[in-house]
Amino acid sequence: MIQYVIRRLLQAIPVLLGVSIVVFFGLHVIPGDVAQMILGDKATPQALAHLREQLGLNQPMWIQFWNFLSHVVVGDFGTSLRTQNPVWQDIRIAFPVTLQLSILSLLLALVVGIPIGVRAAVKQNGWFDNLAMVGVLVGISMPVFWIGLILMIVVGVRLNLLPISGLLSYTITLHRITGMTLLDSLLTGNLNAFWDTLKHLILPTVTLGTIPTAVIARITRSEMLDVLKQDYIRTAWAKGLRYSGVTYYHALKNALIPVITVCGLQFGALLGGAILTETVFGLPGLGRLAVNSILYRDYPEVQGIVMVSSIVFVMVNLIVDVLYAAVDPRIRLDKEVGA
Amino acid sequence: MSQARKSLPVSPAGSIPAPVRIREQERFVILKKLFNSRNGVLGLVITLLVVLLALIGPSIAPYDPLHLNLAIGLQPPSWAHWFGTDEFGRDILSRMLYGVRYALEVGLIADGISLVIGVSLGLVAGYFGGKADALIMRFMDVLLAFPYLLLAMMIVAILGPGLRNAMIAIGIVYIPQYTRLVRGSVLSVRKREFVYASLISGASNWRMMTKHILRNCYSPIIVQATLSFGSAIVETAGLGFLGLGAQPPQPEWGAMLSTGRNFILQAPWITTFPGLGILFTVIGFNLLGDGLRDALDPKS
Repeated sequence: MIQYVIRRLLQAIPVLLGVSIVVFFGLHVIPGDVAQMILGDKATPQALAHLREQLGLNQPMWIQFWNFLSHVVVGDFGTSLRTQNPVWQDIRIAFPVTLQLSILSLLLALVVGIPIGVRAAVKQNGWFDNLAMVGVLVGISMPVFWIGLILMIVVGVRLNLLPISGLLSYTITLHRITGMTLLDSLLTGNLNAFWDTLKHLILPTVTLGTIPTAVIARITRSEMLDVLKQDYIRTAWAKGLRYSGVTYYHALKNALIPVITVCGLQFGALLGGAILTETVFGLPGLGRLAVNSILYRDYPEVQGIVMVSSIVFVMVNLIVDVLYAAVDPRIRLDKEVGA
Repeated sequence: MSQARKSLPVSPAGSIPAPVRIREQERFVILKKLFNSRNGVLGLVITLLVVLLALIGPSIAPYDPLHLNLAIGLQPPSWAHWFGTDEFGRDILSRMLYGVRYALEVGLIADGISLVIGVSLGLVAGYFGGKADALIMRFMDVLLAFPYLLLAMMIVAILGPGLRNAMIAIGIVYIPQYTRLVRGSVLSVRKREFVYASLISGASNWRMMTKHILRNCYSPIIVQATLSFGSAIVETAGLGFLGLGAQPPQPEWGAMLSTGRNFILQAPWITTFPGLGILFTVIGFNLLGDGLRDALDPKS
């Protein structure tokens, strides 16, 4: 198992190197003068020269790339042109917001999606199954940002049940430890802040979690339908085991393996969806930072955000692969034999 | 050419069957399966309706979608304006009807870019194998390592905001899906006997790839193309929503949602109808894709 983990870690290195090449050269193939583009037509020659110097644009491309790579390895992405802060500092503030939202949405998707998928499979072609599958189809087809807007109108504005923007009410202060407001409020014992931030996070979490919930419900149903046809399930029924014992212990355990893979893939979708969700609900996360950086043409910040997001995505997929191998020994053995 | 031929294993079978094609009868069976599937029929009907609206939409639109009339701004749905008006007094229904064309154009171009490039790369990787395969697939691994919307945003940052560039960005982001799919199909098809037969009869690499191998990979490609069509519409609308896709006053649904967001408290209809338009269109393509998948699945 350790060998498998080491091999997967080593395989991630060329991918991340490829990512850094795409990010660097992608933003350096822009036709025209990057400094002029950033500062606009009215920029003075001195300002342009200063920016070129700051970005290292006067140096040969391969030296620029080497500098970029050597700085990235130690987490130095340069200085933001927009905020004038080190890029890493901006990312460090914004990333926990996105991570918190993504984790909550994935949890929601698992908690809601798996039971729906299980029940739909057990009651195949019944009213629940039909209703669930219509829900899944609508959930998969809806644009994330539209779900957010509709929830905002109905739950936030018309029913006035939940706040529609931000992470915390202005009247409440919270000492920052991890940057994840829910966790910080628990760590500091500030229950008032906990309930307040939880209320603020419900609509964004439901918005971002809708599509993964639909995907997980669909894959769970499909896998459960396959597993429920197996002989050992028939044996379990014949032994007189209870409904919950057969479905949740015998069947679901075997049907969950592909769900793990889907969770990994969905995490990438969550990072993408978070960009739209944060824009709708005005959350100060990585997605919002990315949109502002792109609109402002803050290339160092764009590079930093894309690199960090990709590293996180690659690492999540690596963890999923390892989990997959841990749960299903056939995968591990296959790869080891194949290698 | 020689590399590909060397990489093809020798056929263990003595007999050489005729090249396999989807015969008329098989096509009929596939269509029959599609029409027997409730989802498939519903998807087909919705898709045809959307295509019809794209064709006749501008003719039946009651107003000019770009005509400004501030006096009737932010009017709720009424007999005069079925879907209400936006902040500039433009008729939402007319903008929606013009927007259908944008949605289909987005699907066609973005999905077309990824289909042509992705299928070509997958075909080359699967057929030639070796270094070409390794190079292409490692590049696909790199593209897949980016969260897709972020990659699309980065491409738009390079090319500049706008609908055309947003379509190109989404097209590039979807390339790996096709490449992986086609490569897998090619790897399974190229071991079949009719491929050996054509190899022995001296067919060129180009003929082998396009006439014999690609033709037998159509089913998964058709299904993927249908499903990606809907996704491309949603993703491009997402870029429009972020201000990186279509720019006002274009009546593109994502851009309409983006501007409508500012009036969500006073005029929720500005955001409701374009969203329903996207939902309806995407459901159509998803249902059609599911129906085609079932119809083209030999096990079903």
